[in-house]
Amino acid sequence: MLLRSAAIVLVGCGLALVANAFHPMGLPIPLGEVEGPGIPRWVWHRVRTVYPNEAHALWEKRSVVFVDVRDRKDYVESHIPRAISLPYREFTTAYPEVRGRLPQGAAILMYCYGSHCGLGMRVAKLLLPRGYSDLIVMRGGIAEWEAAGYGTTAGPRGSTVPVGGGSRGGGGR
Amino acid sequence: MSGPPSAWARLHPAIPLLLRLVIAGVFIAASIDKIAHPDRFADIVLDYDLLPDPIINLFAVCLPWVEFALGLFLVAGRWVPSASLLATGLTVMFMAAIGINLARGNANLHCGCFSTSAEGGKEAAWGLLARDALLLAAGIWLFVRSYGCSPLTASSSSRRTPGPGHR
Repeated sequence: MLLRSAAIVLVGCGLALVANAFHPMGLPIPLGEVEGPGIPRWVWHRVRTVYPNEAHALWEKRSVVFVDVRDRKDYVESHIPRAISLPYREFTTAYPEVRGRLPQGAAILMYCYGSHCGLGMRVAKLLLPRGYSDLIVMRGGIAEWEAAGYGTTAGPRGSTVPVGGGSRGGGGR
Repeated sequence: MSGPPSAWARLHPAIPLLLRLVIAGVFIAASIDKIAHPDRFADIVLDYDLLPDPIINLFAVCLPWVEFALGLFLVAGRWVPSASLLATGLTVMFMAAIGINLARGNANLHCGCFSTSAEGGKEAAWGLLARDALLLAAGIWLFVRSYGCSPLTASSSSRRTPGPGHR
């Protein structure tokens, strides 16, 4: 009887893997180095990932909007200068508040806590259907950013300086 | 192991069949939205914070299809003891997952039971446990009945045919 129970499990798993291969929201199995769970394959194909040094170069050029997807309290404690807070866990309510500062044509870089945090990709998954196409996720999150010697700042809200303008900062080595 | 019909079965012979179909319906209904949205279900599994990240996708992809398969087996009346045992095991697993989160102080969580949408909302863990307890009781009862060579197993290939001399 246990063998038959196991056989039902195997039947289910077999069907699942076949269906997942053709499912539009199919998930990558197994996960790769930086892949977080719950992110469909098509999202991975449309989102770039960069290391903190590349992200810092983009930050210096002011060519991307930095988005902090961690919880609000963590953002208040410390975040990359000029980053906008868009917590994944409050996305539904937070997105309308920051939509004006996230132009659809702009490159948007998301960062999370650390290497094993998949919230950046999860926010990318939510932004792609909203018309954003140039999305980047920083590997290693703010932990690797700080480990690389780049600065952070504290406070309740990021700069409202538009991309490419203003001089607020402090993220240099 | 064949005994006298239970009080319920004596009440109405269709009750065991109805119960089997209800359990099957619960598992099939629970699987549909998760099969349609494996990414959302993986997010919910992640929020339970019980499994290591590398196996969450595999779990989120496979579990709904296992539920669906066991539901089909129950509907078809094939391998009923095995399917009901599996249903019972899965229900115990669900209750353990909810119970652990309850013990962690997470009393209001997205169950991921029937809906994966954020609008599907979070549910009180105690309510989920109570609902699962009912499902568990039904699963155990079905397992005992079917394994115990009752009329439920009449169409099951795994039935033990009682007869003269059968203990």
